[in-house]
Amino acid sequence: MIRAVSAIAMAAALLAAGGAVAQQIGVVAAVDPDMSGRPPTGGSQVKAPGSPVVANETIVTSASGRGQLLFRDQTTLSVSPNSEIVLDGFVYDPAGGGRTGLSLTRGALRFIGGKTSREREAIIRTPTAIIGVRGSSALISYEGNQTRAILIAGDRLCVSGTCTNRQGAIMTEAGYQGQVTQAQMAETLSQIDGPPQPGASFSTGQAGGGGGSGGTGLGFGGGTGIAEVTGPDSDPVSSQGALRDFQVFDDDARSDAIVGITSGGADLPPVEMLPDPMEMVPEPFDPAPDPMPEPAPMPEPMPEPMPEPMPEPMPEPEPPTPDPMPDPDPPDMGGGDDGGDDGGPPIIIIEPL
Amino acid sequence: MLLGSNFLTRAALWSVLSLAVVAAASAPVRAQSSLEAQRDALFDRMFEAPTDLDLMLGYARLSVQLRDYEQVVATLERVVAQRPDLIEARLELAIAYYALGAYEIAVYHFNIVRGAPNAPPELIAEIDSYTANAETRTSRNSVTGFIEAGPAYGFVDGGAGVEVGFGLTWRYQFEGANDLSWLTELRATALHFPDDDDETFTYFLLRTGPEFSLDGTAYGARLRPYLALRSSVDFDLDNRSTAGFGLQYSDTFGTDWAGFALLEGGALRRTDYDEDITGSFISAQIGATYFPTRNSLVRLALRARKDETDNDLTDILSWGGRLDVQYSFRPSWARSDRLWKVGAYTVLDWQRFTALTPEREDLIYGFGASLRAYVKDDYYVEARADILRRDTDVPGAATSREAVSIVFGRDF
Repeated sequence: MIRAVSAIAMAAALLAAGGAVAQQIGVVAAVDPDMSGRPPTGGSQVKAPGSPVVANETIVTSASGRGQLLFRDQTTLSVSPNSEIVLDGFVYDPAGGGRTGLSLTRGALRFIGGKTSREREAIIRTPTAIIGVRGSSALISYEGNQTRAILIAGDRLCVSGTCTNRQGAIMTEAGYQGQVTQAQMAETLSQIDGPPQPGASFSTGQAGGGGGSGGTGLGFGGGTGIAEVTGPDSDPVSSQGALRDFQVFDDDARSDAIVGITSGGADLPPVEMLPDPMEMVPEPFDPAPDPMPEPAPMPEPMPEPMPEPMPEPMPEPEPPTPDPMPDPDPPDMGGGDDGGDDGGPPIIIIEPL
Repeated sequence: MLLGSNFLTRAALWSVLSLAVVAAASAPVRAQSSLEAQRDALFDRMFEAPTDLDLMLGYARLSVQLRDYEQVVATLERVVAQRPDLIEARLELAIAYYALGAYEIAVYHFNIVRGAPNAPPELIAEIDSYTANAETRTSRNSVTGFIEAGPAYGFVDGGAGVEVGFGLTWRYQFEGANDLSWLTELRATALHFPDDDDETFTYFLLRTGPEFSLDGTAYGARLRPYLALRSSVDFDLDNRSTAGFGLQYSDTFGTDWAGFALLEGGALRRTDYDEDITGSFISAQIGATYFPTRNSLVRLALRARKDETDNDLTDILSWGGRLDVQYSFRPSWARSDRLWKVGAYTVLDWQRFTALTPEREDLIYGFGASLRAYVKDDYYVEARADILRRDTDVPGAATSREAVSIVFGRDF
């Protein structure tokens, strides 16, 4: 019974695999001057722009040939001369999921990731290494029994378990080899793309425009708009469009310092303590006040006489007053009569601006 | 007293701000979904006709709008492969690589474009600016900064004055597979009104510490422990200085959001009332930044701080927030390749003087705006306006600062 179930499952898997083999996964976007493909079922085919490529197809370039492939998940692959790759790991489901993978048995390629490699690491195998490219683009070569990978853009590049998040990092089976130099980059790109075409020039009347590339209406059909949103001082964007907020810990310093807010700037308003709460009264006092000023709310005097005569004459009792009268002169803060021991709060004011 | 009205004021202001943020955030999301659908449809057509330049151009344009520069690069690589004579396409390819931070490969393409027989001088100057910046960003040692100065005017009491500023950022990148750098920042700002010293201030910051990735990815979580010295001085000799240790955390969430947090604490010294006051402080900040487009952001930060000193008057607990909106653009007639920047902010903070009896409560609020225009190369002029108020429950002690300034500066 178990054997029967296993056989059915295996048959189903084989059928599924057979279906995948026949499935078109990409298309040839450019060829210069020639490139060939060898599907899993069938012989070698000369590839031309628009030719389909299918799962598990082997792509081969001659010593002078190169080409570009475009895949359904929007991955782009540029193949250098003298290369051979096997498209053995491309599975794409427009509804989500899928994976990206291929084998590079010789030569060099430029991998620019598409939808699936943003969600799941793309795997590129060479005879000596396994390369993981996460959300990224990379230049990868296998020559002289050595694998070399350069991270162009993206989150991370791993070669046989050692990873880098530095753009421009060179990785081999031996790990991180430093940052790519301009000469190394030129050599690698010339290998993949060929030397730049000599004599290429700007379209007449459209070169430059006013003030550089931004919004110049370049000859390329008006351009993509990339120059209008990017300048030399622009912060970099991840391959998935993510941005860092580089000024986040800087921007509040100035305004906070101006007003004296916390966190990041000058914090406290300049304050000073007044010597006496009554100094807060805005109106100046009469320099020659009446000996008996009109009392504010005065309590009624006690109407009832004392029940027993006092043995000695007592001074006339003073009616209670709410507060001692302030001295018209500035008070002496050094004395004991500071008027502030009555439980009243210290008063602070903000200095005028 | 103040608390009741403050609460209502805060609630009303924050409600308005929150609604504004939500409204600003939701509109671009809807637009983005529509663009995604258009681009997918265009890709299907391009897949059927991979050599059609018009389709490729349309696809790349939509990718620019979606901030998917990797697809812009992929498309332009195909264009350049098919039409190596289109030097304009290679220029855009260089800029797209630059936008992705792939500086070495960008410089490779910039150099090819620069060597075109009829490359115009303006374009060569711009390419030189790109390549110089690329060299700075890829070098192990880089120093950048700015210096600026200009007239200012204080509307409350200050009258005519001057604002000066200086900033320096030194980044040293350590060798190694993963990005690890040491970042040191120096900032100094002064606003001086000769006729009214009370409206004058000087602010100084020195902050240094390593910055590294927590998860080993280029755009993932980053942490930066640092030491910071801060000093702010009023010209009536009230000043506040701190020496602290802090942690900055930042991360990205999807394509449109970034988050951040900060925790800092340390020693505090003040000079007030002609006496030295010492103590400690701890501050925290948390927030998020939303990027509706490549060159615009909306940032909300919530923050809190506590000062404890040996003087009751300076024991302060404060909390509040700040909302920033920024937009960068380049006018087609501008003579500089730098992006102009327009920004606005609003702040709302509440302070309690906790050791006073009864407690004093202050509400600080206001807003500001700025416009930075690059007039030529790295030279800029920036107009700033700030209106900030402090309400307090101490009668007669409310203050306000209203100032404008126009500074002329240079990035380097």
